[in-house]
Amino acid sequence: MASDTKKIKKGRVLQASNKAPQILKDYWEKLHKAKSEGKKIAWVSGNAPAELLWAFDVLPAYPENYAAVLAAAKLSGELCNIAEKEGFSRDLCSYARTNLGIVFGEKSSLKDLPFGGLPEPDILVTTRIPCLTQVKWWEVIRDRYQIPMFSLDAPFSTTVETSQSGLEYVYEQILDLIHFLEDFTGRKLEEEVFSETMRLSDKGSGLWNEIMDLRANIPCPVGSREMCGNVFPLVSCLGTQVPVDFYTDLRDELRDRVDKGLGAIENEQVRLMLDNIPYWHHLSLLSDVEKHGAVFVFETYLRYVWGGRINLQDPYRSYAEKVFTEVWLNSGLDLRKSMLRENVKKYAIDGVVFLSNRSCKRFSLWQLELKAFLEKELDIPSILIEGDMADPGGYSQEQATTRMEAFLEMIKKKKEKTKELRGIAKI
Amino acid sequence: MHVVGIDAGSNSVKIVLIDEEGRVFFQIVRTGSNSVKAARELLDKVLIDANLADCWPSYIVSTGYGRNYIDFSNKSVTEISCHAKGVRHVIPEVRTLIDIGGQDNKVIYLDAEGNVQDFLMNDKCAAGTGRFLEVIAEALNLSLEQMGEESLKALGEVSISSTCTVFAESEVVSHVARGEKLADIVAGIHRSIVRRVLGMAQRRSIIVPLVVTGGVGKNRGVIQMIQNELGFEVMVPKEPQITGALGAALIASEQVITI
Repeated sequence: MASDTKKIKKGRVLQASNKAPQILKDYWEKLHKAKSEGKKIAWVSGNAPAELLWAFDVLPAYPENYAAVLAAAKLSGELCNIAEKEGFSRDLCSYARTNLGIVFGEKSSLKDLPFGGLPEPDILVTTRIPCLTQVKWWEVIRDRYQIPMFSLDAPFSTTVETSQSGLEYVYEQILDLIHFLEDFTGRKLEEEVFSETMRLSDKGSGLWNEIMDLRANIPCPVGSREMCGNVFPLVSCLGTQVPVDFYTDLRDELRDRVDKGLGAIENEQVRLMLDNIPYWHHLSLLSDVEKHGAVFVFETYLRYVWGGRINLQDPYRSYAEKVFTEVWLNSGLDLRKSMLRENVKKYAIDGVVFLSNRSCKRFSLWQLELKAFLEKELDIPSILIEGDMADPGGYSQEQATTRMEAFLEMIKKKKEKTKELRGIAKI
Repeated sequence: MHVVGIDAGSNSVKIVLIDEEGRVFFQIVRTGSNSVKAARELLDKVLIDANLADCWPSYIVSTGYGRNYIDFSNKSVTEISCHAKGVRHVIPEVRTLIDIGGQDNKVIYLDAEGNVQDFLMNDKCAAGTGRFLEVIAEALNLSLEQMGEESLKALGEVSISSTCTVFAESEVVSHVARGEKLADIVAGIHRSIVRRVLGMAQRRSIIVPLVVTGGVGKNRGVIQMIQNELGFEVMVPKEPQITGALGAALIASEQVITI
């Protein structure tokens, strides 16, 4: 057990966050060890039902998440170039290009990758839920490695109420996926194992949602950059004990901070919301605002991509439902408006930053409509910052920073005026 | 007690000094390769102009692309806030402001109280900016001032299809070789800029008064074309290049006001 006097990492406020890098490292070691022992590795798309893999003792690896790691390590640009030389379009998602740079790259150039790279897959599981590019990208990998692939289809969500026919459609495919994995592993899925996996997944998600809720406090106890660093267990290990342990510590520490009135920054003046996947190669865009008394308190990426709850009384259908609902990428405009409205109020948001992410058009859909909606109906200002989550090309950190600073100046002026007017009204 | 605003752009550095009596002095210089050096030397010039040589300003605000590199300024503020402030000082009723700078464009939308409500920045492509005009002016052997005057003589307009400054230059050269009228070619070039600028500005309703600033604001041809396209008058401050530095100086003066 780590000593209580262990120093908090620079730029972080939580001691619990110190564990995150080790969790990542342990995870990769586990992957490589498993591979060397002949255990099966799956490459899994984001939002695919990864819990089922844990239930079958197949280890999931996540090319997208790894692309984010590579982008943060400033290595993705070169991998994208390799993919482009192979003939993949520059307009293709940069997560795909980064991964395809590994798939098609020279083995010798890949040994120095973080954590020793991704072990090669034995099986592929993908889904259309985030986007169709996932499926086509996984097909390329399938053709390259000549291994079995499962693709889960799901309808787009346009209403708050889940469509029953949509639910049945996804539920049937969950059963298909189970059969697919039974065939692949030669084992039947045991009910107790499935139940336990669902229980752990729901517990992890529940803790994550508590953490998100705690950030609604004023002052917000932890900022965006730190939480982006803490999301890996949610993405990769739901269904296991790892996220439960990690997020329990995180939640407890946050509760303590909230009780003591401790904010991520000392003088919280501006509360911001972030929409879209962070630009992993420019994470300081999220933390530099803190020097100006602003903090990101809510991210659509952290709240509405993973962390859906499962009703353990009806685990199969409920699991099917959680997989494709309350996922921002899979939500229509009205749903996005309602999620925005709810959270702008809940988190006392002063301004929204839309990252217009070239590589994720599904996430970036309707940002202009949402901007107009925020202004007209909620009187909340917002800006768009164009960029790409894993491709640093054509992006200037200075220019993005200037826009952010101009936005903060604008919001502060607005708040000053509001205070003035309130002062005048009192007299 | 005097204050200074420095707009350290990538193309040119602009400095405005406001002295005790509220008089405004300014200087503009090309940035060159060292913006800090250019700014420091320019500051000396302005101080001399204002009869304040060796009298360091009470407060300096820097803005523009190089604002954080000016180590001798007291505070840096983005050009959005500074341009809005500067233009409001000169034209208090302004609601929409388009700055066509050396290498980027900005559109600033102000509310009825004069506060920044929204803004857009085009910093990805210089094809709609002053740099575009400079390249073409050089290719046509005209000064920037002559570009404006020349286009006003145009009876027709040559359509320039290239979206890239570099390729547009080649296109212009081929039009000259084909014997097209110089005025018509320049008008076509101006159309390219205006289309780009208005394409951006019209993402929101443009509320009047509309003010255009930046070096390109001195180009009567471009201004005329914007007015014709929009169907209403466009205002241009007498010194359209210094509004950012002016705003910075005004913000500086607010920092030293004591109650």
